[in-house]
Amino acid sequence: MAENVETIKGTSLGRDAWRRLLKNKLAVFGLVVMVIMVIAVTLGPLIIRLTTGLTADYIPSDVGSGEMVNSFPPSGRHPMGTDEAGRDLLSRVLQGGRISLMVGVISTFVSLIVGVSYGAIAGYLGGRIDNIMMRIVDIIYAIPYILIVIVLLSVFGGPNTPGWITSLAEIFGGAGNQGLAQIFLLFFALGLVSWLTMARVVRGQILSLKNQEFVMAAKATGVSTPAIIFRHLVPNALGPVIVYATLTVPSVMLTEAFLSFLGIGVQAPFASWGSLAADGIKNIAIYPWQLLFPGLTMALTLFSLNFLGDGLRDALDPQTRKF
Amino acid sequence: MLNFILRRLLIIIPMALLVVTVTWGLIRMAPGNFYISERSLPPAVEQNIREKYGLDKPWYQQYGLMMLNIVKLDFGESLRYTGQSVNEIIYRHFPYSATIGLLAYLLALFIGLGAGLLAALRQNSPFDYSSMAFAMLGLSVPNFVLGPVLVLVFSLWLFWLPPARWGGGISSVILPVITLAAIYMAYIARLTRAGMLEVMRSDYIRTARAKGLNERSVLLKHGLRGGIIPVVSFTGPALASLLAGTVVVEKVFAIPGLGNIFIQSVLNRDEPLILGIVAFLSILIMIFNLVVDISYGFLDPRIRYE
Repeated sequence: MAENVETIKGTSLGRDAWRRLLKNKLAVFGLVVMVIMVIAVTLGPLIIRLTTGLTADYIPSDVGSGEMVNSFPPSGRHPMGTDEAGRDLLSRVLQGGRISLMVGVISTFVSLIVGVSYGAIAGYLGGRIDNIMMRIVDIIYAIPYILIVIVLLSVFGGPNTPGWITSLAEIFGGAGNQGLAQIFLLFFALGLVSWLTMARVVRGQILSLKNQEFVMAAKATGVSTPAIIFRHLVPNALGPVIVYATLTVPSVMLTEAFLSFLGIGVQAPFASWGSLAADGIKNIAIYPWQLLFPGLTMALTLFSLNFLGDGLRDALDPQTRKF
Repeated sequence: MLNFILRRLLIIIPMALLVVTVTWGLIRMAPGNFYISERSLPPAVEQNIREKYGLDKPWYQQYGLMMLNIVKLDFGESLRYTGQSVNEIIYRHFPYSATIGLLAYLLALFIGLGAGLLAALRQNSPFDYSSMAFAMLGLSVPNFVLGPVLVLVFSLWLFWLPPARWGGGISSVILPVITLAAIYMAYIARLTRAGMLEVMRSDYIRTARAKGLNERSVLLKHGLRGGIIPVVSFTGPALASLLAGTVVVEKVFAIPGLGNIFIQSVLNRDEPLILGIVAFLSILIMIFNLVVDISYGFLDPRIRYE
């Protein structure tokens, strides 16, 4: 966040927005929690391994033999308790947070690319093309996409992941990494269903910008249409885009958790907050911490992201301030 | 107006068919075959199965046949629940989902509108802040966390309400409905508050006050009508996501609703059942969306239908 402030220095608008954001206590709370959360999920598992030797997959050797109970309540060594197999829940929640946040951010990024290009092109070209493009958005809007996502994931999930996604996952995680391919499938499935509102937001912005003088100047000096759209118009519409993206991340994370909860999202050996909660719900009567800790961590994250998004909206666009 | 309704009704048909086509395409693109299980069958048996479901025909004939059946609203027989038609299954399980969904949405409307209205009227009061913070909490707690926590507290610790099982009368409906309603309650409260704050500053409210109307009718007859338009437009997307919500709630509370059946059918690779449920739910949602669009006209006289 600090670099952001540096780059927008000088433009009093940006500094103004930053100051307004800092005045909003709830947004600052959200920002602080998110920064801590990101640091915790990136460094946390490493720190735990260095200090206690526990990892997300480590099963103590004295566990699993005989009829002993393997899931222990929170203690000094395991602040969040252990799961059914005796693994440290804190490590698993942090590791799961990596996946949950990654799915949220990357899917939002996919939706950003699709939505911004689509909306900007429709808005700038206008006329009949705009009309057709936005009608298509209207039509897709009315489709209960969640049904299609469920079918898509169950059909192409597991061993049936399309080849290009598997090879994309191989670039990052090495060959034969089925769990990773599933996560990449999630990026696209979730990204491709959440770009619609983004397209509408961007189109609205472009419509109000495209008749201004700087566009006319660009046209007069012979700048090509794609360059006008992506070099001149899109950067000027970024404010609402950032706000909307901040609010898309929690909603995508919620959808991912929902799918993982149903068992068609993130698959073992990977875990996300959704799949951890799904594992925990089975034992809720006896080992409630197995559900509570992943669930509450996720709720806290979504809570902070929502507040941050709201705060950003108020800060960047004082006109739509909610009084 | 009538023209508008007719045109929109006519659009629903191709759109539902489009959704079914996409779903069918996804299923057929999957490796393996939904109709023939992994076990290797004797060739003669496999041949019989292929003939029975028309799998020996070229794909465009299979597609045409499937579409024809959907248009006739005959979704065929389920593959897993043998001997039961898809229509029967939908007819049997949908009432559970509809009951919970409807009750949840009504509860959300009732409480959400009330809280939003009060928060807007007493802007910046402690009630405003606390109800909005509470609403944000409702937006952030996933329903699969909220549901089990409610069960834990009210069923397993306090023994007030049954943890699961349908059919215990009202007491068995309370927890599922609250679980499902929470997020919509939060949305509706926020939308109502924002909408009312905006409307109460508009010129027509000033006019209404200027002509001497008492505050009560300014608020309820003029303000509320404009202020709840965002809530009405939220109803469309809400219904679509209510679907996802019922899937979770039905799973958490072991309710034999359509959402549960849908997930089962997807995991069972039960093609006719998947297509039937997808078609049924898409048509339902699109009709609801149409009703929402029509109701705009009654709420806001400035909106005209082309």
